[in-house]
Amino acid sequence: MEWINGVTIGVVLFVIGLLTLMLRRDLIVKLLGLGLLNTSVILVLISLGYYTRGVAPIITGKPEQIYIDPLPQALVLSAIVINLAILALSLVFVMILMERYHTTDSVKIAQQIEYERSQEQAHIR
Amino acid sequence: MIAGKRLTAQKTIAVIVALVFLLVVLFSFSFIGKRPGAGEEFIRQGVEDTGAVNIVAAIYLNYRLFDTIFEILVFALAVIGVRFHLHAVKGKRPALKETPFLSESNVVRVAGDLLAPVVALISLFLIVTGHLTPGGGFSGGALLGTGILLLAVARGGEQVGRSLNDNVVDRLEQIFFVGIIALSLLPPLFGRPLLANFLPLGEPGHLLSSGWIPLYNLLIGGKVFIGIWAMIYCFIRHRGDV
Amino acid sequence: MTTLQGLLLLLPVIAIFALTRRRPLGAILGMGVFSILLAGVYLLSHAPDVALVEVAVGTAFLTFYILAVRKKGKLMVVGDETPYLLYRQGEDIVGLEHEILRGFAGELGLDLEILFIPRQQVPKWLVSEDADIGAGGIVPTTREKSNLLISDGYLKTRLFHISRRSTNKRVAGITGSRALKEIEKKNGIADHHEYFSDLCAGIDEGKITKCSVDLVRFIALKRQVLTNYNIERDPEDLSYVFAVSPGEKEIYEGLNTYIARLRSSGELESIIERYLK
Repeated sequence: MEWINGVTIGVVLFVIGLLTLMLRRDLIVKLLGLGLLNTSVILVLISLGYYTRGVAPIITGKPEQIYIDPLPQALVLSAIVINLAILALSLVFVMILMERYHTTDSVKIAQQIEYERSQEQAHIR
Repeated sequence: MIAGKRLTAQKTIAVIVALVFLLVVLFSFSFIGKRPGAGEEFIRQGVEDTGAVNIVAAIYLNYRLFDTIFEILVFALAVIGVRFHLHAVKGKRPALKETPFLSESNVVRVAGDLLAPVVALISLFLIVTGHLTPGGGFSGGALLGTGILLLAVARGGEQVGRSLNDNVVDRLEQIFFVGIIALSLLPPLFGRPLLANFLPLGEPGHLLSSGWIPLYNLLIGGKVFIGIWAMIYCFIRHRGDV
Repeated sequence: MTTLQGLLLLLPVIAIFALTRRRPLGAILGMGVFSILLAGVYLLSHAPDVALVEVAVGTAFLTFYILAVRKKGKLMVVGDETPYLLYRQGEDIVGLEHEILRGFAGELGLDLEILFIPRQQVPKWLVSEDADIGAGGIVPTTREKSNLLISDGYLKTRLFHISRRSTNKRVAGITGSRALKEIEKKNGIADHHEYFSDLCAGIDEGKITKCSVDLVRFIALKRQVLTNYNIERDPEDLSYVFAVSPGEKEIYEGLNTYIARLRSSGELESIIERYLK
């Protein structure tokens, strides 16, 4: 059962996120998939530092204690914050589209834009 | 019919590409050895260098403080973007109603009122002891920001928004952000290089120790709290109510 | 197998479950569960700092998404722009159907929100529950009758087939409409025009030799040039209806009683008089 670790599961999650981005049409679900991509990379980084016999990197002063690598954890904190920032901002852009086209379906929004353009041309004619 | 066929073909290609990606990445990851061990140095030297027992906090707020400051900048920009664009959306943004959406449910009201102080206490604890235990400015601040939402659910967005309105939010955001930047520019005055701790390290494991890490935790906690609340308040107002 | 491995195996299962939900709200709640499980995984991987941040960020996100997605108090109407029934006049939307729907929405205490989309798209929007009511001079096809909830008719109508002698045969109709289905039954494959304005332009230029339309569109066409065309009335009695999203039984029943009340009080007559006579 060695192969079930954070790295392999992280790669599987990345693929799930990628497929969500490509196959689902709903913009909100697409954003959730984008968040999943980020999460999976974080999981891989955390799991690379994981070591069964170690403990969390909070120094207790006991000699010979093995600690988990603290570097990936500290790096990953920034990634999570920036993930939050990006997704919140893009959620607002989705809301702007929703306000205008009343749907979050990307295909329907494309059709709607086409429809509006044709209506405008008809008015010009 | 043709369009439908093209769509299925696209989907098949997408699935194939994703599966190939899966196999390639899994194969390449199988060469990575266990324990890269880049952090050994920090474990050995961390407490001595920074005085913080929590090595993650030591790295986050001392060794690579430069990155952290720019991360806060990114977060601040996102908050500004959310507020700006949500104000620009026309939408229907009626004046918030006096009666909250869930007022008829006493359970929600009482639970929100009871839980909000507890959440606030826990997040303050997380912020203050960020250098001793897991936690720190970001998680504490985000928790506090969402904890305020409990109050908003219990009492209606308007009542909370009255005390934490746009003016207050703007002012506090400026104070915290300028505080973070100013604190990072102070060290040259004390004869230390830029972004290097100038406060006494104290005894590791005590509340007042590890130089300016607790100070940074407080400032970042406040900044993130204000940022998250500002975003949530924008969303609430855009919808009309909680 | 350790607890950590068990939790790890649960992650993709929950992610797939969440991201295949049809409605965004289900996906959001599923990803909320995913976020909490993930925090557990971080905790068991001896990364408590990351676990705490993940919990805080996951909660904040759940709030953002739910506040963004949940709509309140809107009656969403979609339909093609139709002369007399539902059309633009400057900035405003007016028409017979608009009058009925505005009254109905007011009765429910909802705001009326109208979006113009091609006729062919209407069933899709209703089935996916993006919209509550489909309008715009709908004469339902048999397929729509079985898929959607169809309200009582509020106005009698008829199909008109117009044709003209010409060497090049070009048959046309509005995509997705009943009229197109009828003309295809008679003449084989017809040209699809998504919009009424395209149809008008085609007839203006004399390109179209055969075409079927319903009553209000026919009246609008008659105002234009229709001199060279033979006009034939379809004998079948039809009526204009509203199509209701299959998930909205209450709106469907409410709309039917509202139309019945309008008819019995004679108000419907006066509205029709105002717009059509």
